[in-house]
Amino acid sequence: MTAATARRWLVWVALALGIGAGVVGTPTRRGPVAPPPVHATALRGC
Amino acid sequence: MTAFVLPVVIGVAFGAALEQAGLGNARKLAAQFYLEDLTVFKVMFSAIVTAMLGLFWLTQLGVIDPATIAVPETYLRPQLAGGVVFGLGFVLAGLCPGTSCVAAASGRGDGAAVAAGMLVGVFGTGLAFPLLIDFYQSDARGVWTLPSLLHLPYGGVVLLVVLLAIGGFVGAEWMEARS
Repeated sequence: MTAATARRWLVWVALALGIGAGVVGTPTRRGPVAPPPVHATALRGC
Repeated sequence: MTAFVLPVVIGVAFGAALEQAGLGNARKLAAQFYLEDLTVFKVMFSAIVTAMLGLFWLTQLGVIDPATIAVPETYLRPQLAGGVVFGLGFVLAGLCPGTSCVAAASGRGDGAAVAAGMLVGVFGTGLAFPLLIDFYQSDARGVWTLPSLLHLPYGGVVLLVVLLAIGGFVGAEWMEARS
């Protein structure tokens, strides 16, 4: 598999997981899916 | 023991990934600001999307407990000032903290100089901290997240960021092909 093919596959996988997240993580009649609770402070860097 | 070893292993793997992506090279990083080489944008956005999707799905599957995730609080003006200082340093040096360590580790003199300058800056900021602490703690906004700011469902924001990333990659490839 070439790098370009692998990259194209990864884009499709990300898109599928993103669409899945949009479906699963959107409020339905069963109740909303809450974002993770947030707390505390941490340092981040690049 | 794992708590000490695991961060070192992850850090080395992160450094190796940055070096592999060519981000230990200041010329490559500086080219980002001239929109000639958008590797930094692509690598960082890929990392954001990978972490975001991983976090979302591992939380959904019950592998990660969301209560253990720490999100930094927003101190708007101090963080904007920090962003400006960081950006100026990035443009001036052509390297950011992580990539300067990668560049230094792979034997580049400019990387070592930037890492040394960064440590001097950290030390100087520590010495001047009593003067800065009021500003540092000002303009506290609590924890901001995209779903709460945009008033959108969590999953919708995940999808939005994925679409933004894919659109960004297409735009980046187009810009690189043009230059």
